[in-house]
Amino acid sequence: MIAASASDARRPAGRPVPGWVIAASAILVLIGLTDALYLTITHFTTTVHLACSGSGTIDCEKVTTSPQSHILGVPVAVLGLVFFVVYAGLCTPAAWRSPEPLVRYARLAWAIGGVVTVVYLIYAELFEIDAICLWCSLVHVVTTALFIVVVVGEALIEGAPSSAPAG
Amino acid sequence: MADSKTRQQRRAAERERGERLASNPKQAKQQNPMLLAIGGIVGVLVVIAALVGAKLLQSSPKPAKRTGLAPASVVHDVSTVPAATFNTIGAVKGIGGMSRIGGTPLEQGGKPVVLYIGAEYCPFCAAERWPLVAALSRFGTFTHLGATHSATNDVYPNTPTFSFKNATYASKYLALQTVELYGNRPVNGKYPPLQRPTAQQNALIQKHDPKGTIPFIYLGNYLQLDASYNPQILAGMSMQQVAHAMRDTNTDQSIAILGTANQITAALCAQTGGQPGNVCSTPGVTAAAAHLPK
Repeated sequence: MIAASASDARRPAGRPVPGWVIAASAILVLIGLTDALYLTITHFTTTVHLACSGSGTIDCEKVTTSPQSHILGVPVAVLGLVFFVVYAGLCTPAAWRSPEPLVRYARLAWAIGGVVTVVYLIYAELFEIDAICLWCSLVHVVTTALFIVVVVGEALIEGAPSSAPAG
Repeated sequence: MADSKTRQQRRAAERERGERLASNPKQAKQQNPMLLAIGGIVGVLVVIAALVGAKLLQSSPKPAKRTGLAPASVVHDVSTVPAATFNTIGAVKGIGGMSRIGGTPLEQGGKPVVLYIGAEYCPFCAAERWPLVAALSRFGTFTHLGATHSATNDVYPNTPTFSFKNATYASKYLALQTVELYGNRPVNGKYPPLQRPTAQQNALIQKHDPKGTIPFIYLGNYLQLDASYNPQILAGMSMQQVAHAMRDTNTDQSIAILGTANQITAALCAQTGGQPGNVCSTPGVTAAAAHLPK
């Protein structure tokens, strides 16, 4: 009995979260953050250029200099960076294990908001700008993958019995 | 022992949950979060796939509709001239038509404006589009450049060239405005109007060239009027032949087109503050900059 208590004490308190969910979300957020930072730097500097094809369907510069590259006057690259910074906070192990409903809802809302924005941006690239930016597409893939990890993670946690000690 | 107890507790909890759900199927349906998650994911993936599918379906007949586009190989050749080739040509004596103008350069979205006004029938415009496309491609990317030629019944007939009519240009450094005033095939003795200048563009023409010379190429502090070289050197050539010849520094076409492109590039670099550095600091451009009108 004493051994069991000691073992439980070493286990992090809060909701039981599959390890892969925490790891996958952390890796994806890191990739997204790096990509968004790169896009932001290239947006604001003229010395760093996007390493990308400049002609045909794949044309990063055409996308990143298009009117659709700003939403309400804010560069989409900056919005992406802010998006992943907030996501990083919502996907820490502590945040995942937090029993606080507000954290869960915020993460779910962030994931849904992200994927809705991605759908709009894909639409804009395909039908309005008529070009694809590979670095932006990586952000879209990462955001969609994060959406999958978050909703599956939440579903698994919801379906699992709580590890919190009763009483 | 601890593990066994935990396992027993877990089984009991699962059993209890199973019984609870079995006794209330409606609740079971409501509380299956994995089904909801999978539904959401499938929904998102279906929407993205639908967008991509719609684009693919839309794209397939497009090439047939876009007749008149410049061949991709030509656009590629003209827009990817190696810096070494530009440098070999450098500054060319006898490149004409450029003058320095006063006033505050126009800006659009924080970028210096380049304004081209010409017409498809005009052989001098035809000649000037080659170096203009080559120079501007060093600062950004063209898409949907058209293919055309000057009028058959004018001087230097059928001079092969691009058309800016449906072209778009994206650049971090410059904002390009183009106006093709007229087509190249007369209808009832007149060339058909294609595009009209805006009030601001008209004001610029009135200010700098009330006679209305074309091509009129506004480069901020510089103005290019008329062709910088004789269109005769393009006579009888196809677009592919011109694009090929201009990359061979031993040809007249290369000297004229790339020499002019270097001069235009130097004028543009003066507007962008020397950006991009990997273009503006090349020997060909700095040599041309030294010959810009004072």
